[in-house]
Amino acid sequence: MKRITIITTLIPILFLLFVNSVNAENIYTSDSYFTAGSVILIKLEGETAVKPTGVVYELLDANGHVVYKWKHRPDIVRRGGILDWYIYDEFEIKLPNMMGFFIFEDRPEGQWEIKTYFEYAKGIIEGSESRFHFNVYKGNVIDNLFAPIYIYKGYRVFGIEVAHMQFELFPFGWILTFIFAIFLFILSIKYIRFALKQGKIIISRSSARIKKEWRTKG
Amino acid sequence: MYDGSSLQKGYWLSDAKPVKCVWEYYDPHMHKFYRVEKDVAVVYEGDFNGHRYAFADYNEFIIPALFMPDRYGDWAVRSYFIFEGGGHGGEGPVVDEQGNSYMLSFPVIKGSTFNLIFNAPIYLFGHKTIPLFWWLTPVWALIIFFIIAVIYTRSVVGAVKLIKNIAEATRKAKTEWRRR
Repeated sequence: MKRITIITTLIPILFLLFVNSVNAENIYTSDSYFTAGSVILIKLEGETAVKPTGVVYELLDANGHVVYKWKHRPDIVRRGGILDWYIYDEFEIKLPNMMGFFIFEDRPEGQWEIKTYFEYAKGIIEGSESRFHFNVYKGNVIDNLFAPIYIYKGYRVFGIEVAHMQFELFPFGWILTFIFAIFLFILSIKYIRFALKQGKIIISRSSARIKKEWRTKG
Repeated sequence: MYDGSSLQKGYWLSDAKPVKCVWEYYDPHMHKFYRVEKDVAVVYEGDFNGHRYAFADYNEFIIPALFMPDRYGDWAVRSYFIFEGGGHGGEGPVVDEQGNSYMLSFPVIKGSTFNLIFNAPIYLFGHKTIPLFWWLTPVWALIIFFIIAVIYTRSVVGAVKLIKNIAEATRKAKTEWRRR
């Protein structure tokens, strides 16, 4: 693994971020910050000696705990370059809900990290690791309500993670919106039925009264 | 190629046919605020420096009504094309001489209260909707109804009594409906 480049477009100050994984000191951070639901766009480029089959993106919180792991099939893998294989991948990571809303623990604010590495048929390609640091704050309630919820549980033996379980839950905001929409629908149906029934009663009473009047006149 | 003005000049070249163009708008904290996938505005077929297609696109985005101060700042827009067969490319809207693509950032400030209430649309779940003033139509309708009631009864007390009577009649009708 000789060269890996992460090109990330950061907002609001737009610049290209080049991270050289070989030299860990060459990691640049930004003054801008992200909150729950922020999107991080990653463009990963590199060369490897063996044919890569996948790219792993690991999101780590400020305490270094894994938040979620994504395994992605690279967009481009072709022969070429100084080493045998050229690899290019684009990936989008959405930051999770930071507020637990009394159900989960709040996520820590601070410097979060995205760790990436390439995989091949027999495991991880040594030396292909890259790290990207960025600042994360909780953000407001709306951001948190509509941010995805990541659940991750790693199983370790002698400090080494041997397996993990993870899943993504619907944001709370969508669930609340769905419940609210159902409530509104039921309420409107109830009132439409009420209005129709009352209208029917009024019409039948009026027609009965008119008929009665006609009979009296007749 | 980006020429420094607000409009981008030039065309993208490709051998694959572009079928859609995607525009994504991000707030200052990189929340994907709005995404639109549309047909490509201009596609020419022929021989353009050895490429079969020359294409370009443009899009319009109305700055939303923003009620949270942390949403003011530098927003950004990203665009890319989707080609026949599902691949994507032609990322922009800004590209430098080396072919590196950049998002285009634009500053967003609060503006006047009038614009915030009457002109700026409210975006809900990724869809553009009406400005705040029109969202409050039920409130305005009730106020107008009250004003009409005041004019009709020639006093505020009369209007209040009228509304009370309407509420009472509705309550009675509801009770009767429940009984039946």
